[in-house]
Amino acid sequence: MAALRVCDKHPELNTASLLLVGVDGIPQDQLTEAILEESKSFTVNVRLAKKLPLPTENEESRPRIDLIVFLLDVRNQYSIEITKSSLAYVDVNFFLGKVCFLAVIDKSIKHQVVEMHAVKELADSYSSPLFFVELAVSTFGITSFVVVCGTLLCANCLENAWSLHLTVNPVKHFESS
Amino acid sequence: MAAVTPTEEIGPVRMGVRFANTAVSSLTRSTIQRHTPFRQTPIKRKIPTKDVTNVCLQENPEQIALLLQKQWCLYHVTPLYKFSYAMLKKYSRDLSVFFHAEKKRLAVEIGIELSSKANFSMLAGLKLTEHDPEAVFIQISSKSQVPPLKEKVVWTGWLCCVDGDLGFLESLPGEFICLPLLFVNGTETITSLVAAWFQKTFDCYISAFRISSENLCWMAAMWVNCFSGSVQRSMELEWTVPAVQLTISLTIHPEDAKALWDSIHRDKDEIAIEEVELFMSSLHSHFHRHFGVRLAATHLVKVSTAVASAHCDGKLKVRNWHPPFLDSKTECYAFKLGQSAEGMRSMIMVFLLCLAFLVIEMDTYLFEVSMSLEAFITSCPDYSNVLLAGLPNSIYKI
Repeated sequence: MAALRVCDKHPELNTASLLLVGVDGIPQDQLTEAILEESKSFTVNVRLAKKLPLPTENEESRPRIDLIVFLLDVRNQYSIEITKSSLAYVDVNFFLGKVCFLAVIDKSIKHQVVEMHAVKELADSYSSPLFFVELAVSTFGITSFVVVCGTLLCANCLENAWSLHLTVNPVKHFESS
Repeated sequence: MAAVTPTEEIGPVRMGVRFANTAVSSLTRSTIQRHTPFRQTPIKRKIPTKDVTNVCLQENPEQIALLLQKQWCLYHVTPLYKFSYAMLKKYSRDLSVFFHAEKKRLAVEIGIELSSKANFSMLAGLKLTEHDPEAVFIQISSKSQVPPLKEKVVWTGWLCCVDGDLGFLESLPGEFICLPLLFVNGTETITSLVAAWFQKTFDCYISAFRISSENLCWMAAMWVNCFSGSVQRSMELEWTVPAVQLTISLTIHPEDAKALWDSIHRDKDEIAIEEVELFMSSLHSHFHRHFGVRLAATHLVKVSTAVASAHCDGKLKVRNWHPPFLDSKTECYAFKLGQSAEGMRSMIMVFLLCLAFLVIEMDTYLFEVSMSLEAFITSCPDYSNVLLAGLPNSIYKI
């Protein structure tokens, strides 16, 4: 079981692949729908995984991964542990703009198990963007995430355009675009 | 296994190019630091020593004994404006008058409330450092209409600040007094009335205080830390899985809990977050080994020990704890009468212990508020909106 590699396969025409990594309890379907609904000039392929490394059996048929989204749940300590262990199976070049973190939050303090500061530290230590969404009550924050996700994917699809500058301040880019 | 992390010194060779030194330099780290309103909660917490509690013992221990064996609901109070300890009598009168004015509504809602009397008093000695303001004790009693016309206490509450963050206390303007925690025992109707009066009189805001899972872990560890040989009551922890309405409770023999804690805990004066995390993860892995359930994926909602118990809804109860040195029956009897100085001392110590870190937590909250305002100003409004979504409701209202 090797680490996930960048650009180890040929890209498909007008198609970008997104990998959502997150444990049970996070509504991955809801996120996937929101991403697919967003109209884009290219096809988006969403793959779901509970953790990394990915199993070796479908290695051949798996498309090239253009963006990995790690789903964190502040209501679930286990999701943080799994993410930390999964990050070891990601090629270092992915962190040049092909990884982002999405934290599912809960406004009521009593459901909060993981400290927000710890989530922020995790994203900071991998120099990757961090988004917050609330899925329990409303879909707060989901739109901005989807738009930035689209931008990142779009940039990653082009072989020569590393979306490095996007990682520094994704919101800035999102505003100007 | 070719596991590559960003901290590795030399990156892999790709297309003939060696990506050297991909480690995050301190310069890069500082540029990606986000303006977030989230501050790290204290990673270390003090264990009160006996010297500190000696100070409290000089004060009235009977009054503090009143606070034991009752279930308290926690509320968060923002700093009180122009609160004066010299005017407690006036406040008692004012609150009574306020109740009198509201009595029509009260009579309909509760039925008994016709001659309520409020009484403010100082709860001397309930503090850990000299910077902490004195605690305030409020009692509301009412005369029943049907004979015997006895006065009955219908509501009890007290405000306190134990081991508050010195930096925060000093940064407050002079007219403010910080008593961030309100403990309430009584009906909700009276609580809301008292809260309304407080908010009107001292220009503060009172909101329900929920205890987070992380704090419950702290409590579990801190209370196990003061277990002793003679503790009889077992330790109970309760987790819930909201998705499937499942409740998991785990009962641990106090000796086992103490043995586990002793194998983890090092420093006598303070407890570190790593120790708390290790303690909880040991319990998690033990549970996973026997029952195959990952407790890390659930919510801790209740901690109950011989010392005290706490629920995530903000309910707290301090038990009548039997200290280790009171083994014989006569001494126990003396202890019950409240005459044993040693017994009282340890009770107060444990009591202060469970309060201290809650107040630390409160200060963190207040700090977060000012930080979030700062975030609003310094970073772009869109971004801070996204970040603020992570804050609890109470912050919004402040």
